Amino acid sequence: MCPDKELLSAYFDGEVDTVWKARIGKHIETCDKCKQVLKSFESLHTLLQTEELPINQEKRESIYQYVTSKGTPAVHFWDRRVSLPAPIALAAAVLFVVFGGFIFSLMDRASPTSPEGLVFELSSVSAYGKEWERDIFPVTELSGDITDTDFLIALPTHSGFTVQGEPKFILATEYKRGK
Amino acid sequence: MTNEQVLSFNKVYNATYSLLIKIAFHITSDMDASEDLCQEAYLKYYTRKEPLPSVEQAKYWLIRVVKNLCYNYSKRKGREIKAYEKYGKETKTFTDSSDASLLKEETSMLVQKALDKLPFSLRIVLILREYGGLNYKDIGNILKITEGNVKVRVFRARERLSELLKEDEIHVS
Amino acid sequence: MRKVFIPLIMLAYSQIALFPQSEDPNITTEKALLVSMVVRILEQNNQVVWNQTSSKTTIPGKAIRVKLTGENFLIITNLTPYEKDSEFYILLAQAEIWLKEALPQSVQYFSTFKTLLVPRGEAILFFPFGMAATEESSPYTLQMEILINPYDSAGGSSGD
Repeated sequence: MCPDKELLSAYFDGEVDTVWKARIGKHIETCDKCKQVLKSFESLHTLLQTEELPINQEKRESIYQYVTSKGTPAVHFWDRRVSLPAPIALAAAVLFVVFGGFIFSLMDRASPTSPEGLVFELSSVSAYGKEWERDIFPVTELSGDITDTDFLIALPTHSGFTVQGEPKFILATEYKRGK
Repeated sequence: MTNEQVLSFNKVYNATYSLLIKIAFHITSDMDASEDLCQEAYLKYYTRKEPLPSVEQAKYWLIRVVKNLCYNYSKRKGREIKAYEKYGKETKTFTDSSDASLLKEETSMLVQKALDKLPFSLRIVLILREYGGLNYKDIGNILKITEGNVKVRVFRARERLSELLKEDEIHVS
Repeated sequence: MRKVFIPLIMLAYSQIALFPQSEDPNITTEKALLVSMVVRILEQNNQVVWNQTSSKTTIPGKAIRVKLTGENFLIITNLTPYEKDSEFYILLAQAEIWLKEALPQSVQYFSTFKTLLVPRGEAILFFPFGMAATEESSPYTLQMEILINPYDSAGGSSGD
């Protein structure tokens, strides 16, 4: 009874446990068919390793220089905005908790806005390391007053989202039905 | 950056550079892009607030990031550039011109061309296994799939790749 | 010095997100609505790896604006609920999304505007970056779940 090819593939990679390893090892001693399958994996492996991928050492060096010269640890926007000395900062933090949204909107330092369209707040210090050439902090007038209703939810860093499709609002039941 | 952080980054960089470039190249078939994408990944790593505790963990983190960056890059580029055009550009990176290595070059190109035709989910496991030398557990970790899934995919990738190579007259037997 | 400051600010911000503005004289209890939301990061197998809950009271016609920030993006969402009848709410949902791409260096911008007829008690899901179509897509999906309830029946106090 020949093990299936998938198992042989795992065997080839050394990913089977000792029991199976012994069994298969014994089996292939006498089974030409399976020996052949393993040989084909071996050949493919050799073929894939044929290449000589030349590593450009200059480029390697220049990437290193680039990264280490650019990098200071990521500065998050909340420390960018405020540069108060510690005691005052502490007091300000207490005020935040007490006065919630009022202080919060002060922090935004929203500039007077036009009735429609976007107002961009620029900063010379980028929030996410030097990757951002300028910060884009749009303040929209989509509805109502800036000092209104603001929730800020900061997602953990390194979430690394990419676009998977159009932004979508959908009823939960519709979504479940669609799955 | 403290000296310690610089030193530890240096360690990580040297331990992972060749591996990362290899993986990136085999996903994208484009050396220039691979170098840029790896740079991006290293920059992300360097600017992390909390560096990872071991070189091993840093390696997995970097591989995961590079994989995603390369995947997105490939998607954006689409299939506009035909494989052979890309490889026209690639030959200038190979400098040795003896017969034996020309043959190697050509084989290399054909292999990469075939690899390029594999669907991403199969290609990536084979790349991580054959070029990255990672075991099923680590591959599963990086791709967030089970070991069993890895096993199946590696096998299917091998089968499919052999078929594709046969089309190009490279027989794997 | 800054290092001391930052955690406090983070705490302050998360507190703000959790405490709804109350004592607003404009909110009459019969019309007041409680909008609760949960922001989640999901992995491919729909497993939740991060979430944050918040809620806010408002009145019909008054928008709630939510800002989501991340390493390479900014999302601003406006949610304006209206009461249609005893069975339905209407939700005007608007969102603007800025996403920075590494290669090529660029900022992508998306916006969406949708009017939803929402049966009372039903939740709305918002996917700022779309929904993962295949397993090959980005490993993470960002999701916001929104629920509208009358302020009273929710017990009057903020969500957790």
